Amino acid sequence: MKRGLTLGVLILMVFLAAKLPDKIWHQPQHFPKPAFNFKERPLEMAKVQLGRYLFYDPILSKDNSISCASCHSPYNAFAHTDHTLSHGINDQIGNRNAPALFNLAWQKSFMWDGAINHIEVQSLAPITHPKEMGENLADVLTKLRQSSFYKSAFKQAFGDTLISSAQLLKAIAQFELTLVSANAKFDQVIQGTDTFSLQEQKGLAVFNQYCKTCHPAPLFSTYEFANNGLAPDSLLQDVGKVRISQLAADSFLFKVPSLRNLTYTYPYMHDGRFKKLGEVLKHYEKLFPLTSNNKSDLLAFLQTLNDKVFVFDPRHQFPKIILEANEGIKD
Amino acid sequence: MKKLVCIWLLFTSASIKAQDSLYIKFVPIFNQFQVEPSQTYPYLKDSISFQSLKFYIGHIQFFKGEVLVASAPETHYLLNFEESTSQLIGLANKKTFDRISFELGVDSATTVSGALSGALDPSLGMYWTWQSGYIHAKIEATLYSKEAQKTELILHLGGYKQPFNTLQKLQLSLVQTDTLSIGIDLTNLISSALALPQNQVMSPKPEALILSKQLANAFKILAK
Repeated sequence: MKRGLTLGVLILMVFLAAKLPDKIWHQPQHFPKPAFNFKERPLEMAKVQLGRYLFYDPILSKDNSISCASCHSPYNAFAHTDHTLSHGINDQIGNRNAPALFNLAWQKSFMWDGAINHIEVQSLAPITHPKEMGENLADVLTKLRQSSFYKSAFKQAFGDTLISSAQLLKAIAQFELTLVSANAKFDQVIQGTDTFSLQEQKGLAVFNQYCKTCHPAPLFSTYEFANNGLAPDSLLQDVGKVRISQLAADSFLFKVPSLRNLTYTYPYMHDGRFKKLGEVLKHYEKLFPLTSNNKSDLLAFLQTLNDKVFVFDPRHQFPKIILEANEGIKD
Repeated sequence: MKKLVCIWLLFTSASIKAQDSLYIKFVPIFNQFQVEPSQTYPYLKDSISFQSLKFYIGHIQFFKGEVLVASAPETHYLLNFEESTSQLIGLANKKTFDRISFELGVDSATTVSGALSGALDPSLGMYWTWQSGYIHAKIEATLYSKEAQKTELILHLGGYKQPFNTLQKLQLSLVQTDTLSIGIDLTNLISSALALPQNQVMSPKPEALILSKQLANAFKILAK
């Protein structure tokens, strides 16, 4: 009897372990197949948690003052609303508006100009940028190796206390891949558990007429690159993707952002020049014949793309354990 | 300074059976001198010193005729001339071969494979962080001129996407010995780079492509 019970518990544990990946990440039914290969690189809870610690820990920056979350706050759908441009060490201001981080598994390239080709190497850019974290990988690894907290967390995640740059980068990527926004009202309507109001329906019609080519549902972006007619900022002189590709055809092309979570992710555009959606629509009046009613209806529809469940998901928020690790402060 | 008196062996197809392990030694050369850190070498009326010489060598394969007979155990090696040991690649190989092929740089498929380790660890200073991609070859030198200010030459040659994929594929015919010495004669490359309007090439672009092809041509089998 006792042996049978033990066997039963073991089977249950194996079953739960097999089901674990579903709890970390799941494919929303109405989403396309992700670009990231989860079969090849499955998410693991210990790595995701380590990535979460690292994402929120300013230890990654030169003076231990700036974390990934400094510019990618969970309450802003992992964007940044205090400044038009990113804010780095020594109160430096960067060159671009920090983009919102969600649904990264569906993206083939990263940054406004697509400079980064894989999510696992994305965090190298902000860590080493002199106006962002201003650090180098070797020094980050030295700091992490001196931390008993991280020795333990890396051991749990990777089975050793080596703490290599590949482990560091993979862990951050694993956490970022869990940032899936698929629980807005729009998603509930698609799944048949909610309905649009009359104004939202009208807004959807406006959206379908003018916006969906570059911002198709359900991701609300092609994640391709486009010139939406913005005049270059005279101070920044940002030329967009051509800086990376050196191809004239890529001049002033920037990555099309998703229209999900716009309420949380202001300011808008690659240089954060618009603080309000009304200003964005005013810009698009130059391209499309939008009436006042069109704009009101469209704004109503865009509200249905705000994913409060995602923004306030406790699994993505600040892990208080790193306070204890860095400052000896207990919860 | 060790002056090389060497005879280039070009397109030699003779083969000798290796006894034990095989070593490939890469030897940087400038103006017939073997380049070593902290040394100054004559160049026209001026002199030059090298601060950094690093190269990625990938997918080393050995052929007998058209038949692949052996491959290096690691996909990529980072040669760093500040570390003399990295210039010597050891291979357990007892096969007979008459041709070696390898890549100068890191191929596109590898470059889009996320965070890598070993020789491809991005912390080794050969990965661009502001954009994805490895620096295939890093050459940093200073030209000291009597008539002008010193010139800093910085060549970070890389690029994995067309039209600026700067990866170079090389094939060298050889006489098989226990240690293959492959010279990298930088003389022409440095001359070309110094003739550029700007002496820094640090991103994938036409100049990087031209210089990468020139660098590939600098690899030659050295006489034993």
